[in-house]
Amino acid sequence: MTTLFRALVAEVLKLRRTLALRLAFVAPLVLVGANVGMFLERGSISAPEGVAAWIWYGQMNVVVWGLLMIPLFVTLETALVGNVEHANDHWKHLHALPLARGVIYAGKQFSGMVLIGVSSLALVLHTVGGGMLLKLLRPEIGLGSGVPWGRFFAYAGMTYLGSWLIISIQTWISLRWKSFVVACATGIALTVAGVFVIHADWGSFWPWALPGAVANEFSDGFLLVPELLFGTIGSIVVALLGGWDVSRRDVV
Amino acid sequence: MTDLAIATTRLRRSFGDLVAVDDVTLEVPRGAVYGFLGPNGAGKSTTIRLLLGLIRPDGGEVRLFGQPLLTNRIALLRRVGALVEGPSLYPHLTGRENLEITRQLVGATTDQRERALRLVHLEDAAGRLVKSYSTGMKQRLALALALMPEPDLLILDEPTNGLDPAGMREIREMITALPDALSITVFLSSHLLAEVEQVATHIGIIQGGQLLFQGTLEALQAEAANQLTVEVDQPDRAIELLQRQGWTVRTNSGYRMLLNVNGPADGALVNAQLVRGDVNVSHLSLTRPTLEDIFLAVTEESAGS
Repeated sequence: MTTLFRALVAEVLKLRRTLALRLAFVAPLVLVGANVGMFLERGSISAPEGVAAWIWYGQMNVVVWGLLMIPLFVTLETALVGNVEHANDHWKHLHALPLARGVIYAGKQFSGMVLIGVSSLALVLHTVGGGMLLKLLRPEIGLGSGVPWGRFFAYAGMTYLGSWLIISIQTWISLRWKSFVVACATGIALTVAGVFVIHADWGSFWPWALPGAVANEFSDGFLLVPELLFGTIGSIVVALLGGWDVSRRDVV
Repeated sequence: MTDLAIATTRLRRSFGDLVAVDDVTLEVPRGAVYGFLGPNGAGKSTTIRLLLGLIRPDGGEVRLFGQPLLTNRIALLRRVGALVEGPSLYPHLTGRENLEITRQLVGATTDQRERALRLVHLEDAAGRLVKSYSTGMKQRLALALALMPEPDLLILDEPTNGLDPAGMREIREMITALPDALSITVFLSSHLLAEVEQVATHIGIIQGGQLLFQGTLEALQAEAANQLTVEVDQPDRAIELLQRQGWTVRTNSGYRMLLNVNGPADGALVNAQLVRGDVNVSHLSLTRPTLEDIFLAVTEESAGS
């Protein structure tokens, strides 16, 4: 456990001054900023009848986050994290250290999860901050004083949980193939496919659409338990397979 | 307890049809600076990857400090520091941060990290981003990474690659000092013969994946013939005379001849034979072959056979 923790600390250290770390804060900010800009201009958030303004405002942010931003963001983050090692051919140094190779893989997997977790937290804070700004500049929009913190955290958390399977798959791809293009092209193509696939009966089980499907329930407050179980268990299975595959390979 | 830091038995590794390492049996004594020589593509880096468990052998075995690497990889790698094919550094981090990452991974202490920085004289530049380092500084930092856990065995693959003469000398001086200062065995691969000659106590020569020679530097030099250079006034007559006496003679200019001899006594004998044959000798000198001469002789002989 100590070794695993040390591997995670080492991975987090590597993220200093990287685009991957900056993106963790910037990506949700861009999304919230775009929505806030749009509502500022419109002067309304067009909430359906019976839905509170804060909930609908939250829905607009969380759905786009889950359906598009998370899959693309995971794709880019894991590709960048993998590229940190591929770029200077660090594998020979890392695998010549007195550590089980699986520990190094696990460090990568967990650092990807930490990054996405941090950006999910940032999404909540940016969303609430953007809402406060809207309330200040456009009181007529109707964002009252009762910020639904619980709903924000719960759905950001579940969307994050729903992204674990993509994190595991994309981590495997980005560590398995040296080329940045392979990881990016796969993630982008399967995310775009997810936008269409999500409408199918089984669409919410499509790994790249799963966070979007979970986030889509924000305003109704439903929980997609089978999908989240599938995603969580699937992510563990894929991470174990990925760790086994990458660890047994020769470092040439 | 074995006296060998590295022992391989009939090590073999292929990549498709290419046999990169073929039946290599290495014996590296503890405390030695072992120079592993070979031209580019000879199998040096593949051998080093096998020694570190980065790739698995098709046949044979690697033992470090008497124990098989395959079944004791992690325990044995705790005693090994390595620099494989150039420095593996994170350019967006400082020198100290680069060391900190490896420190976390291997569980070394902060004292060991600072000591490694001092060993390679980088303590003043440790706070700078590595992307601003010169090639020599990067190489020294990579050496610090390998030295930080205070290994018993240091494996260095072409550690002076890309360095200017001053950088080469700096790395060379560090390597030379290691066995005495830290009781480290050094296994050093290079294609730069003059570099190896200045630091190595033992030599291995590899070509085409096969180990052509292994032993002390003195043994290698003793195996190689000294070269006698002779200048005479009648070269044709001198050649005829010397060949009749059983010498192998080569000429490299009109009046100059080269002979392989065992030592100074042979020089005197050749001189006497020429003078007795009425050939005037104007120059006679004995040259000890450099490692480069010996290396070329060994590898050319192997290529020819």
